[in-house]
Amino acid sequence: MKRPRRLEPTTWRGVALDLARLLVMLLLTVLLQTTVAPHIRVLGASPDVAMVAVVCVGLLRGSEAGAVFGFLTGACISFAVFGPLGLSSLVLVIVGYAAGRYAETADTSSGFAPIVVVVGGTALGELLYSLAQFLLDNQVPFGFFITRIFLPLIVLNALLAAPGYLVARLWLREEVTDGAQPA
Amino acid sequence: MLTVFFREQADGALHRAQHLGAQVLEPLQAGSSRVVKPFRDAWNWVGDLFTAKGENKRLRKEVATLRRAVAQELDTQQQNEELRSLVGLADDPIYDQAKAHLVPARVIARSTQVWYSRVTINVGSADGVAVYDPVVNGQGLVGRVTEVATNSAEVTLLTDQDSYVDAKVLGGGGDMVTEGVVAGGVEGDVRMLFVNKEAKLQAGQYVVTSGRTGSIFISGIPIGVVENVGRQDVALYQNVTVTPLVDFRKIDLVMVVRR
Repeated sequence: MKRPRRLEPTTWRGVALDLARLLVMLLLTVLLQTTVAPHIRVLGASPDVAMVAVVCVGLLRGSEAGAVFGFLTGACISFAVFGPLGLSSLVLVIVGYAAGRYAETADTSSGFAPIVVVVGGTALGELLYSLAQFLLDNQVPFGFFITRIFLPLIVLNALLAAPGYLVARLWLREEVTDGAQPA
Repeated sequence: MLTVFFREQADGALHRAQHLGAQVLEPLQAGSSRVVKPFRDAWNWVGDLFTAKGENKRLRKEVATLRRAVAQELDTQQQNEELRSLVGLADDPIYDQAKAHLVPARVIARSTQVWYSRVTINVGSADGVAVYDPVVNGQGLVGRVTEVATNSAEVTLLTDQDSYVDAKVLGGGGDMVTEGVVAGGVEGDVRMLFVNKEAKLQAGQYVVTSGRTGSIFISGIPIGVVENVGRQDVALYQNVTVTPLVDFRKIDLVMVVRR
């Protein structure tokens, strides 16, 4: 199957507008993640909006943009909730880069691709978070991690993946066609 | 960056950068929190419907228990006032508590990871809030302030695994006051540690802050109710599980206790 071409803005105006859109998306992601998502509890877990957004940017804008977006999202979340500075950034930069690399090297034309990547990204992210907790000498009960964090979060993020990707694609779409050439 | 953050002092460059970032984001978070509140309430309402039936039955039972407790409390209070007037304790803990200044605050954000039970409130050093200030609400002890920026602060909740509160158990008869340390756990459980093995405890007894000398907490702030008591011959202490009085999922308005 032919891999869809990723389009990028080529004019200065296009780049500036694209950055502005990404900045707005970043801000909305941080606000949703810190003020809305923690109140939505399903199966004991809250959806990780930031993870979904970073994966979407990685899929739509490639590995470099995904990594930068992931780093900034993690940093802003750490600022907002006084979390350990660098922990979320480290996890999200890896997830953003991995999602971008997947889009650059694999076939993402299937409608299930965003869901698969979000599930993979969430699994990778949560493993990294739990590893960080272990290294920080915090409790990481295996049963609790699997039943209360890992599995519920994968289900929740998988449900969020399709609408999240659709919204991200619509939000970042117009600029792609504005004087753009296939990459 | 992570290494430097954990190794540097509390006023280090990264901590200062974090405080500056928090200061910038605080108005946006406060606005966002207000905008989404109706939706959050609607979500909670749907969730509450499922548990309302069982909750109703439990609450009726609790009301009956509380009525008895209030009657006992009024009696105790009357006795207490009489005793105070007799003894005239100048350094009464309640007097000290009355001198404490309460700063109202609103929860504007919550920790995004299940590993942490922390919230961000919309008051900071500009309002006189400082690290280690206790945070309470109408139900009891919420937690303590652990980070302060100009207009916001981080509150580590009672259920966080880094939360430790010196506490005592009320009632139960006998002359011995049962004390221990109430600690949170990653699974949201709250336990009372270092409880004397000889202490006679039973489910339903109230746990409050002990306010020992040097403690950051004022004596008598309600924490929770003893849920389960476990004793093992080989253990040095009793294993006490505590049910917090505060519903941490729904905290919105809190008070920071300035001393």
